[in-house]
Amino acid sequence: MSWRPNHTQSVFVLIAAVVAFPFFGGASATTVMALGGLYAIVAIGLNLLVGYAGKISFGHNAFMALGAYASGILTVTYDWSPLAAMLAATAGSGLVAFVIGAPILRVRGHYLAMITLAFAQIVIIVSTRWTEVTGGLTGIPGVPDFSILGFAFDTKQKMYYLIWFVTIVLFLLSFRIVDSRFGRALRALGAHEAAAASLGVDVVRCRIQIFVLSAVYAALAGSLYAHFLNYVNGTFFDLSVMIQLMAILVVGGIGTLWGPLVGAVLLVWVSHSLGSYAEYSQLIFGVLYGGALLFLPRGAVGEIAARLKGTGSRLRSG
Amino acid sequence: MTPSLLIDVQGLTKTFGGVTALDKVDFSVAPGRIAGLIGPNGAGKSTFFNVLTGVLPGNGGEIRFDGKRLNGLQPHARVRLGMVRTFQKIHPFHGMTVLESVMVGCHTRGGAGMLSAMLRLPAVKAEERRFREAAEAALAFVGLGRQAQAPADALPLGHQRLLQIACGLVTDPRVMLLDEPASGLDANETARLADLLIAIRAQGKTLVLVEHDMSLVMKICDQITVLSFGRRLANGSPDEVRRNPKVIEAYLGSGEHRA
Repeated sequence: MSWRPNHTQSVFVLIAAVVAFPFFGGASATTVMALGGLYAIVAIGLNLLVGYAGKISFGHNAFMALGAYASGILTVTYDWSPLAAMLAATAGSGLVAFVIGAPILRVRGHYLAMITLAFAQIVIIVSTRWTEVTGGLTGIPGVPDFSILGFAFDTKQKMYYLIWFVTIVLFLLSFRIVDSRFGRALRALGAHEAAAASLGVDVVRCRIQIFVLSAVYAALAGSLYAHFLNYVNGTFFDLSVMIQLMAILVVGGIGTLWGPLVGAVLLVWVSHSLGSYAEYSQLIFGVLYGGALLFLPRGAVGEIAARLKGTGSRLRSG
Repeated sequence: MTPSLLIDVQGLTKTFGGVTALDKVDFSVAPGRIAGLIGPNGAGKSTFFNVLTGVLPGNGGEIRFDGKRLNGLQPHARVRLGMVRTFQKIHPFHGMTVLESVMVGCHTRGGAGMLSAMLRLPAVKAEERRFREAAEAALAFVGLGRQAQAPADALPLGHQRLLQIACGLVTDPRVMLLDEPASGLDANETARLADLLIAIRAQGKTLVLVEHDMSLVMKICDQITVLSFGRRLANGSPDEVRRNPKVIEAYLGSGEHRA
């Protein structure tokens, strides 16, 4: 099973912790945690793709960028409402993912990883050079606060709650996805493609769907990011973001549903506490990534789950 | 018009580079029968299964299933038409329970997609319940009812074979193609497998098995096709095949013909 019997309690504790955090953490810590929520949103989708369907993408930083730029450009240049811009940004990024994924996901092998890596490099380069549209290296300043029906999320704390609301909704939806007809097909094809196909699973279709969904999550996070910082810049979404996302999955526990959440929160704090050592962040993420692969191959959550199972007779009702 | 043959293969050919793995093989089964496919190692039995189920494309010939031409159809589409297979090598779905694995086999019985899974509407819940009941029934039928919550990859080999059959059964197939279902089983397990296959036939399903265990094949099959070096060597009832001199030669070698 994908979760322990105390799932409801764990979720309740999570929600309580998220709600209470700003009251104890202070403004700066709340900003860090909001960033953690943004990373978690991307990681939740990426985990469904990588951890369950077994396909690797190195382009999710680019889908974040697409979401952020689309929101930024539509709200600043074209004066769209933030909500309409966000819907267009996520739908548009999903469409881009479909165009990229549909041909590549038909073939076996690691083509998706290579093509998405190339795609991401192109997106980032274009975003910093196409000055008329993206503002080039200056980026897009003055992105308005996010608002829904006149209610403005005009403080970092309000944005924190919005971001974590989205994070928790997507987190809970991931349980539904994994435990469904679609989710079982996904897990089966991730475990063994031919065996899944032999039971009637349309492998290509499932893979395209989950790739598009994960890209939509990334774009949604990017769009929220733009409104959170009131600013968009392509350098926010370079390859190091993708490396950090992979580290989140591996450290948190790839193919576990709590993994992306735990990994994202851990990694933003590591990143934040580097302070003046920030220039070594790549090195430190590399060490974390390698260390997790060597010593905690199931990630933090996978390891804890396995320990709980080991002593399961007492912990589980039966 | 209902065709009298459920599977009708004519002149099936498959080449790998210069090697002809299947050379104009004919094969047919009427509904409700158990057909055996035997032959020495390398005779092309597994290749035949792979082309029949769409895992490999063929180079020539025609496959008809219940009168419909299957050539070019993807494996998953053939499952929808009622043709399901198992593999000689077991491929348990890591990370899934036995029950969940069998529920994968319910895939073609429903239509809930990614978005409806997220919304989990009443119709989706009802479908899940149907899947669960069908999977539990299939597990009980093959004798794995008590293992439903075990991790799929923790089952011993004998149970893995039964799990494969349960997965196939819930697709509600008209024909099941079993690739060496008895391989790795002991005599007791093989005897129980024979009973199980006969019980499946009694439900009106058709079975085709590739098998090395001759006593099993001779015991349960209504008809046997012998392949050798990619060609059909013989075809007929177990008694006819057993007495066929070409079959004896293929299996025992051609010592008496040596000059």
